[in-house]
Amino acid sequence: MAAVATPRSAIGAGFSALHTGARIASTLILLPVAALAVCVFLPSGGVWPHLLETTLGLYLKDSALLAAGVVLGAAVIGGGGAWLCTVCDFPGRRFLEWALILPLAFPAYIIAYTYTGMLDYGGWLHQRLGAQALPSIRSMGGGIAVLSLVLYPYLYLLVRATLLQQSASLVEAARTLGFGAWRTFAQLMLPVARPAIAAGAAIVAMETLSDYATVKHFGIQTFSVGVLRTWFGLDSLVGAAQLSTLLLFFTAGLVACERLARRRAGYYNAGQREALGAVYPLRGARAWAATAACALPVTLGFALPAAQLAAWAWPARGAVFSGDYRELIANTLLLGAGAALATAAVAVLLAYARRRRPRDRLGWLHRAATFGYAAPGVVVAVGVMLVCTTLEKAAGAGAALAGIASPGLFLSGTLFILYFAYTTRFLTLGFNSVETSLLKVSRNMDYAAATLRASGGETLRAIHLPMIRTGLLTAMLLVFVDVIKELPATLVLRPFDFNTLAVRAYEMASNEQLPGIALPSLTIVAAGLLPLTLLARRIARRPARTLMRR
Amino acid sequence: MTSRQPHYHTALAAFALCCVLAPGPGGAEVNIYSARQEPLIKPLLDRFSKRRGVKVRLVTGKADALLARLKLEGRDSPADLLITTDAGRLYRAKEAGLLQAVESETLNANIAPRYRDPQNHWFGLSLRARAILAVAGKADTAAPARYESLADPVWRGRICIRSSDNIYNQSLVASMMHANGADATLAWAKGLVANFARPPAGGDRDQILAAAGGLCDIAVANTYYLAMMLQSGNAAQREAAKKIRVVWPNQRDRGVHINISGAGVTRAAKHREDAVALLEYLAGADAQRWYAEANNEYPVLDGIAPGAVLQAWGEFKADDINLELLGRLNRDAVELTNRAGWR
Ligand SMILES: [Fe+2]
Repeated sequence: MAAVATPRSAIGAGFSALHTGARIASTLILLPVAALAVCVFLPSGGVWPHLLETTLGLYLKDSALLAAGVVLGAAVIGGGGAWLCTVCDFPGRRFLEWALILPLAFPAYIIAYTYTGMLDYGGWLHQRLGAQALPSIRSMGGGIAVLSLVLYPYLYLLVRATLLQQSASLVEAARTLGFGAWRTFAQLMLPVARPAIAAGAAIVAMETLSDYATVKHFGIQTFSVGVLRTWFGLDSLVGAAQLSTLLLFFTAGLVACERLARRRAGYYNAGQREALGAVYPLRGARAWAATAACALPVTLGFALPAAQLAAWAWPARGAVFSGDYRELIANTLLLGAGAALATAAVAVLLAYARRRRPRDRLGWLHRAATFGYAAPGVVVAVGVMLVCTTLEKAAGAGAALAGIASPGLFLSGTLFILYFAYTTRFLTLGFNSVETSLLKVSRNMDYAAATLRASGGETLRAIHLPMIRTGLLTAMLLVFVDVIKELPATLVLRPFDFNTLAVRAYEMASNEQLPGIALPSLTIVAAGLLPLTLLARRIARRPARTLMRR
Repeated sequence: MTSRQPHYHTALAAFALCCVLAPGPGGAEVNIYSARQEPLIKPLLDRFSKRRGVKVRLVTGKADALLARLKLEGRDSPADLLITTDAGRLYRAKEAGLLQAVESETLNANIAPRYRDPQNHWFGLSLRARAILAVAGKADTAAPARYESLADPVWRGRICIRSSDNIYNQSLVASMMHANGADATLAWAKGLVANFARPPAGGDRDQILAAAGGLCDIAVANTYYLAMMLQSGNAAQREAAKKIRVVWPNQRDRGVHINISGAGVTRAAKHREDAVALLEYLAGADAQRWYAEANNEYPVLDGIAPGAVLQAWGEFKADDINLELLGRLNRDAVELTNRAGWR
């Protein structure tokens, strides 16, 4: 860095379009969430004394238990799986290392419906085994199990990426010190993987806390359930917004902890490291135990529910070829692709602006803009509607002054509002992976470009974007997969006669027809498989040579 | 390197295209926000559309979310008609100033006053009865004759009922508050909670399945779920439903608790005439017969027979409380269930 004599200020200057754009984008995306926060100052119609007296304690208890359980479960499965598949070798590893991300294709509520359909009263497994043999799936334990199975892939992806990048030298060190696999794991790998575990845990906790359909199905009373009960039951949207704000504060705390964990760990990956191959070839019983340990989450989180859905869907399979169904698929893909593009673009804008001006006073805006992930989707949707309709009314008033026709619902009446909602909700997924991959690009590149008098846009296009292509692709794939599964915002914000696969599955489910959800659900899973396979190929691309043989 | 660069301009153009692809408004049409799911309303809308030559467009969703959308869109809202599956949400929509009065001889003649708003802002279009369902051989001979008896200690650990998040239970509680007062209803709700066989989870159908599977002896559910199970393509559901007897509660006093699915014309309606015509169609003989036969609900129109399954359960006396009261008491009912610990 010292070799290139470029003052810092030269890099930030002359590129205010980027920063203005970033500020507009982050403000717009923050607004729906901020609208919730503003509700703190509005009268809630007296719901708080009532909630304090009755159910608030229950919401807190269930949320804490569920979040802790799911984070722990996801960390054990995701972290353990990443460790085994990256550092050890055992039969079936090459297959399992990509199969482990498959549960990500399943919407959590679909897995919940599938398991209750098998294990609750009336299900075939329940009838086969009897009520005594089975613990109730509709319980805290059931909720933790199902959400852990669906959410662990986030942790798996992040931990695995870290292990692949950072661990070659550490394992080298471990070998020199004569550590075995376990000791290396506990004393060297865990500290190195801590930031990834923290980041993954934050994502998992946020998804868990914002989930409504799954926990509702299991009768768990988390904060999100309380939020919607306050809105729907007590008819207090303001009270619901205030509860959501509480949830957001909690999330802000989580994110702060995660940042702290990251900062303390620092980044070891300044330059390109030699990629790591399987280091500890396992033998005999240990090897097969590792195979079983990795195969179990894939079976329970993907293969078994997929097989059950396929069995349910089989009699109705002809419907896939109907025109109606083609439209569902096309709409679903349209939303997924549009949202992936929009979110990735905003993520690049914000992450890049942050990189150019790390000490920007308004940098917190970019971070705060990612909080939409933690609130229940339908509440975020109301915030998004509020922002859009306010802008529309302002435009209408402006048009009236100018004596021209009102533009009407030019935002909320189009797909724009859906993309807006998705970006608000899923920006954190895109932002995290874009920011992380930008951090890996040496700053010397920026300084070199600045000496060559390249503009910020040129530098971004010519240097950064190609270098962060993998991170960008990961961001888009993750958002795509989450959007095609998304339900509450899609349901309320969509235009007339615009159905998606998730909407169809929901309508079948709320009609309490479990087998009817099977076909649309399977199609959602199938649509998610292609992007996930791409993702898996990205993360598996590395020399598979063994560094150490015994 | 240039050749390997992703095509950003293509991406931008693709996104713009994604936004524009939303369908625009057409000519003669009725636009509907419906809390009733598409499969349960679309066939009727299609029939109306064909008869009148009017396009019918639909968004379905959760009632309160649709209400929020209607409210925020204000005068610009494209929705002409709001359909819900309970009276409480229609009452809420009216209170928020989202509906308008409709004077129609057909509607007034076809729908009894207790099933519509006193100012004709909304109209009930089908009736659903919430009954006590008893497992044959275990509870049917001694089954509770009143909702009130569900709190009796003999039923400890023997009752399945869904969460009080659900509007059906909220309305039931509201009707009891109206009949017995808040204190007696709170005591009742606490007794009921003590009698739960498990913490509430799942929908009405799940309670029936649990009862048939031996978890509990009594389930409380809307009868159309039982009828759907009896007609199900799934053998397990049919077998389960056959084990259940319908008990009509409170036959010696106020009668069975009834709720409606209904609709109202929005204040922002741009196609008021067609919307009223659709309401009239839904309250007419053709649509009412469909509600009875395809949906296993009770028609609001006198003279239309319920479906065969419903007829087999016999006639019953229905609570004649004006359904507007269910909406009025809804919040109190939810607070009461919170106090009673009914999840
Ligand atoms: Fe229902």
